[in-house]
Amino acid sequence: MTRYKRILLIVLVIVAAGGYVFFRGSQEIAAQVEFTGQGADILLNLPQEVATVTVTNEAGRLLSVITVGPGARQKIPVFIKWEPDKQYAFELALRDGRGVRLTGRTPADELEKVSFVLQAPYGLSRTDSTGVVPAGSAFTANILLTSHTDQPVNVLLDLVIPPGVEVLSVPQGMQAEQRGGVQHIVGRRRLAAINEHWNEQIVLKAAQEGLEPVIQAVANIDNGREQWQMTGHAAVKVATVADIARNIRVQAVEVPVDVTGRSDPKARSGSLVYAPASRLSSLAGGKGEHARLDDEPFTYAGIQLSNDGDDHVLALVTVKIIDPASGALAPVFVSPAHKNAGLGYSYGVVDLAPHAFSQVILPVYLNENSAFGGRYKLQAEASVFGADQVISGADKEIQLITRNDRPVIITLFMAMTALLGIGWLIWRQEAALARFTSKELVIISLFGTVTFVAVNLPETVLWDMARAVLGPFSFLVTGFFNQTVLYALLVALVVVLPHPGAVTLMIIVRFILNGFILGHFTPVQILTCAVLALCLEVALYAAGVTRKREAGPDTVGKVALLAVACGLVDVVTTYMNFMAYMTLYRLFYAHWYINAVLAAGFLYTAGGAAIGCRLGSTLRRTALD
Amino acid sequence: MKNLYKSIVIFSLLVIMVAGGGCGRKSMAGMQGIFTKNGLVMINVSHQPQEVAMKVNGQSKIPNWHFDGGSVFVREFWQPGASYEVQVDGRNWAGTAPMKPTPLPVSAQELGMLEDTPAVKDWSPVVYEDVAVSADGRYIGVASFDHNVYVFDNTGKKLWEYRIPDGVGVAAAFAADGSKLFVGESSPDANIYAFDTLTGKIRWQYGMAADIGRSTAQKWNSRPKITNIVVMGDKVITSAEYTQRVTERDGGRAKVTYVTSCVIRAFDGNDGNPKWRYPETGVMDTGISRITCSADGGKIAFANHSWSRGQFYVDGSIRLLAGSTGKLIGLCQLTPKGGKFSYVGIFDGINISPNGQYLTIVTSDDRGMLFDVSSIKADTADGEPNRDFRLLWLRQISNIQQVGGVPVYAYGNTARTTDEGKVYFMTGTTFLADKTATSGAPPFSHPDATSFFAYSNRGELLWKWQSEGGLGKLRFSRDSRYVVIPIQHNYVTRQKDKSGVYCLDLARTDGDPLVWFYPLEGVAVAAGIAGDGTTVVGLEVPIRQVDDRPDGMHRLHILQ
Repeated sequence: MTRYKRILLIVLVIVAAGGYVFFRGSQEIAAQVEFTGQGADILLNLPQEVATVTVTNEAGRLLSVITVGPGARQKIPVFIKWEPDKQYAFELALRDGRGVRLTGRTPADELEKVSFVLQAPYGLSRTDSTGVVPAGSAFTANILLTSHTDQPVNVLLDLVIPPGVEVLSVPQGMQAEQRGGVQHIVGRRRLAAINEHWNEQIVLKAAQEGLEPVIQAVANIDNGREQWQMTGHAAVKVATVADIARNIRVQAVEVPVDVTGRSDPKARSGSLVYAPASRLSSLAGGKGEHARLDDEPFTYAGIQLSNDGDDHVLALVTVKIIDPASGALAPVFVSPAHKNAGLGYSYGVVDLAPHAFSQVILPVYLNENSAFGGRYKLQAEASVFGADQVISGADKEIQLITRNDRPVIITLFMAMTALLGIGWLIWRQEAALARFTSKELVIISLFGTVTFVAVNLPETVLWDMARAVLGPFSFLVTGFFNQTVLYALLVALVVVLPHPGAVTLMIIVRFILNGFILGHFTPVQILTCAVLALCLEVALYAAGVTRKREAGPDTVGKVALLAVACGLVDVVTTYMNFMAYMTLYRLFYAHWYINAVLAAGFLYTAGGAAIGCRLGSTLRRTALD
Repeated sequence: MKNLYKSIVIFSLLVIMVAGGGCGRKSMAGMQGIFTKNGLVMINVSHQPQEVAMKVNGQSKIPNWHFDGGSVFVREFWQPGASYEVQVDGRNWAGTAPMKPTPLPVSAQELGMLEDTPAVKDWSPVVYEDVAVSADGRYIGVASFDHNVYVFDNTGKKLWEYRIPDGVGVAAAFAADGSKLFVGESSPDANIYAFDTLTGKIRWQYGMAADIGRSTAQKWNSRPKITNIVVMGDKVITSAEYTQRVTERDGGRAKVTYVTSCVIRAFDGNDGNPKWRYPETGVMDTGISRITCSADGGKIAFANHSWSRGQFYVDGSIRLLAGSTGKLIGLCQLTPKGGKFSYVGIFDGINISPNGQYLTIVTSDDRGMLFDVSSIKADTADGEPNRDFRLLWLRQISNIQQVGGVPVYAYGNTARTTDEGKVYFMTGTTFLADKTATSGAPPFSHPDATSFFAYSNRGELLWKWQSEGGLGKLRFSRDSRYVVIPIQHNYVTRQKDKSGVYCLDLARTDGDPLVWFYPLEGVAVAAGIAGDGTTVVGLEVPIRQVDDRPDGMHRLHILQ
């Protein structure tokens, strides 16, 4: 390649690269202008950093220079007063030095001096839409007249109510009239200031389905120099609740969700957990402020709605949480008086587009002072906004789980009992043992050993088999050893030796053997033994067995009393056992299961106690010889 | 062939030179004239000029000018449509005055990161920081939600910043002479600080938590916080409020209540010596509205507000205090409208005229009122407060639409009155039933949402101006001629195109009070204006769009 060719090639490459950068940088900016009531909106095809917008009229007169804050934007509103059928020029100066010039011609018709909107039902987003209302239901029509001139105008409004539509309320300052068999609602108003408006809501009712009444309105306007007339109309389709419900449906209700409508995959649907600050945390480091549930929602409910029809529907969605037993709003979920207009439940309004889904997210409040756990029912209902008939609804079962301090408290009590008991025994062990003769201590030890052999060893063998076969209902099998045999031996001992403390020593012997031979040294067992000893001593003393130190219950009544007392002791200690498992091992049991275990335990224990009385009486004759 | 190659090379080099020249597309800006509401400003003036000459429509005129920060400010009541020629040290500029003034952006200063920002689909601005401008417009103070206090001069130069140890800034005000900046925080201690404006040194501070309680809550709204700072001559009046969750035993059960404590204190602005306290002992059991005072500081007015009625300081009670002693000299009790409105709800909607004669109120349910309180004197002896609030008129400034039992309204937000009894109100965005409903945006707007109303002293509506979007902390100039309004996003339509700072000239009588609109990329949460109406500032925060994408930045905009 010759030198010139080489230089030429390099230069051409540079030119090509530079040309690419140059022309790529000046990407075509497209803009258009839309004239509005307040001026104009400039719409860009892409976000741009605009520095200034200069507006000039057809005559070249500078109307406005708008400086724009930093940042890219696609739409810039420009507030100017424009005249009809005139050309305006907008020059945009971009921060990178480029400029855009565009022109726009204003509408031929001048801005209305007075604008007029008639909506039925209220809130319909498009004036050309037909609103759907349920037959027999009240609905609200909305009238809005706005003056856009600083000259006062007098307005005479005449609303024509079509046949089949009944007027339920006439706004103050307006009157109902009959003319030629047609009902009119008329009123007068003076709009003196610019942008002043006249806004009324009229409650109507359409009784018969299938009708498509058209509400018409005529406004006669006089500004002192000229008079003109404006008309408006609103078509309404009256359908049965069933017809509307065919199209408008509450598809699903999800709770709990967050404020964006997302549910937590870790949380069970329908379960609400309320865990207020525990007393322990307040002891630990001052008052920690949690979400103030009175002012802030406890959680949210997401309601999905569908509109399969061809019309926009403005729907009012309500969420009520009721007590299934009473059917009334559950006090725990009643919203604070200053929320939700004091209604006690949450509501929202949604514009349901045709053939579309929408989700409404509504807050759920919690009254901490009524926060009882339990089952409740969430009712989500949808109705046409402004109408008073529910067109669709869905229910959801919810469960409120509250923090229960009882397991912690009971476990603490058990721990205190164990600590105090062990401490007393260590401190006063000689005195404790000196209360018994050597013979009595031997008897107690024997009973303890027999209990270990007769209860703990079989239980250990049978436990796994029973659980494998019966699962959580293994207590029906192991209860025979755990309760019947155990209490038979316990009661037999106390009949032979009706001394306070005998049962306690027996339990200690059993615990030691269980621990050393089978290795069952667990915190729960220590706690259970401690409370069992305490409760049994109290029960036996109260029943008179160790108080009177008699020769054991010898009548059916006394046996029954003792059986019931032991049964109650077993109920209490078993319940405490459950609480300890909840606290220490975070195991949770259904209430019915706990009740079943307690009931079975009572029966097994009472039976064992009765047997123990008989056994004790028999042994007493030989044991003390 | 060689010649051909030579020609192509030379031609290509020429192309490169032209294109390269075009790459420096940013032109070297020459001197330009901007027609602001304060006058004509010649920007891009590099040094103090020796001579400035001006012609208006060809006629020579001696301009009243001064130079500051690279601009020549010509105090000129310029005429729309007139042609102006300005010569600065031989450099010429000519232009035609537009129909309306233009805001001159002086500086846009980035501030610190915010922990949370508003979302376009929610009504709440989330960020409740504050900005203040000194009376002469020379200094700007920001009490920011990014845990900092900033002071800038009016060219945008940062003088200093201060890191609030454990809280966020929520209130700011300059001393009358601009020498001090008072800042209030939301923090465990609810401090009010007095900073030296130039150096940032803390002259004094006081922890209002000593009066209302202390808290280490995470959320700023759950902590004790300063709710008002009002400068009254050499005194500074401040209020603090704290709502705490209290658990009591009620029989066998624990009962949870939310107890509000609020107190007002007056301090000597120079040394922080406490002057008086209201109430003298104890606290008010409701929150209070904005505090307003007459120009001579003789009368101070505020209203109690609470969602629940309040036991000792009932919601809707309007109190007048003597500015020198803090004694209660006037009391008027408003009652709720009823129906779905169980509270009166006066927040920012209270103002007393500079001469202390008129008091205007607007409630959450849009009842606007004007009272004559001239008979209530600051030197009232101790005893029963004067209840002679003469109601001159009451207007339902915006109707509450009842739709199927659901009230739809635009809540009454701001009230302002002049010495002549002219009244201005502003409403906020659309709500269903009550302001604090969190049921999402309704799919329609109330016709009076985000509207500014002007009423005569006889209660006649003079004009109404409307924008769209939520309302931030707006401010009036000292003479009530101008108001700067920060507008946020429209949560109903989920648009933020009209968010920015609006300046209205309330002296205009043609029904078009808008002076200018300064659009922001994010949303405006607070605005400030110098007492003399010169410097205008706006605080911008970013907003999260529907897809969580943020638009805008945390910035302070300084405008002339």
